[in-house]
Amino acid sequence: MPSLIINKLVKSFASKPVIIDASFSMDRGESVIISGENGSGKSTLLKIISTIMKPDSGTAIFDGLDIVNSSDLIKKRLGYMSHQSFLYEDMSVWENLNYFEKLAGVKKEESEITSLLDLFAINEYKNIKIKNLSHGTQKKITLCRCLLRHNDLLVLDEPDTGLDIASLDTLRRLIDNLNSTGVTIMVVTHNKEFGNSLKGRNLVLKNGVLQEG
Amino acid sequence: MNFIKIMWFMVAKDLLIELRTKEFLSASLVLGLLLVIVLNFGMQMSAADWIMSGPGILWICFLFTSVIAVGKVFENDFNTDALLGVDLLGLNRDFIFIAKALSVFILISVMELILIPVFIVLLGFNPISLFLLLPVVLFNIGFSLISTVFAVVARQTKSKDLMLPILLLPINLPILIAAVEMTHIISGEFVFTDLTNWLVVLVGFDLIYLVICPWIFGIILDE
Repeated sequence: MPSLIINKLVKSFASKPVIIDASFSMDRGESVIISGENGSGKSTLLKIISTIMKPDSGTAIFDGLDIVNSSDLIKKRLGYMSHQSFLYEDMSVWENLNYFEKLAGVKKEESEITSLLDLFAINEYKNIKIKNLSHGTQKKITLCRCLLRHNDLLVLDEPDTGLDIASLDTLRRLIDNLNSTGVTIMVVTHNKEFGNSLKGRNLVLKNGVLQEG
Repeated sequence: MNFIKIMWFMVAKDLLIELRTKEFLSASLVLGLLLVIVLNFGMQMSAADWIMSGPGILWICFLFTSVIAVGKVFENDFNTDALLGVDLLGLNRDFIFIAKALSVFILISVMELILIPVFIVLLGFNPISLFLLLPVVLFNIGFSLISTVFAVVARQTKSKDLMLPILLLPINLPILIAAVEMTHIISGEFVFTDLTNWLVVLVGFDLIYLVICPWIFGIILDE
């Protein structure tokens, strides 16, 4: 049985339809790579699946939970990376990750902060404030923030932008590893090379309709 | 995770950021001092006049500086959508609301503690008495609750920085009037029944805000 079932999602802004028909399903531990032109509605689709935005019509079901009606339960199992970092700019990398980890209810002995910082080779920045870091480094920390607790669904909106080649490779391996542990992952990217290098299905959002790529 | 822990983490984070940047306290103090200095030179009042007008002037200073506090407390949450990040952790939104309101409460209380001595020194109007704690604490509670909601409302509008004071000033009018009247009674001829009448008004509004604000906050975060 699929883990995520999206059925005929529709979303408009000021009567202008952005998503006309988005229907697909994903198995547990599968990745889907979504591409499409600017303004095609990719981020909107991810926001709907991440419970941030409500669709005009259609349904999205994750592990039997309706994304609109059971948003509180979905949030506890979801990691979402948007264009915004969701980080506090006047706090250091460590303080930010520690703050989000504590709020997420992760126990001290289960903390993954050090290993995540090591994974992206950014441990040296842990005491530096977010506002003093480059865009690429902030992006890596944002990824770390999404991975602080175990999530069953990971929604990544252009996680590759601003990353160097080594970090892209790390991200690629990370997505593979997470898939193998049963994490369902949706990735939006404009980077064809990166998208093709991921093991997953390709979907294209064109004229408001989601199609197999 | 329990309510107290979440509150502690969120409030400590707000206070840590303020301690580092000192943006709110410096901006509030400059505004408060400017208001007091302008009023000192602009209004040539006798001691008797001060008993009549002092409470109003004191609360104008408190209100304007408190409005700055709200903007500052939420600035870091809105700059990078960090509040959305916190909400996406699936925490109870009532906890988030109370934590943010508590941060506002603490910051405006500290600011008032600093401004009162300035008021006494520059204007010669001394409102200090134990009873003054009543309107100050009750106003701060009501202001923190309703302003936390409207900070998020203003965020949804196009001209957010302009909208926040426009929304906050009228919405806080009932509790402001009650606080001014209570201060007036406390610093003038103390009539206990008059004081309790305004006390009921202030407590009443605080209770209403305490019930409806967390509910509205949850709805607005959904929008």
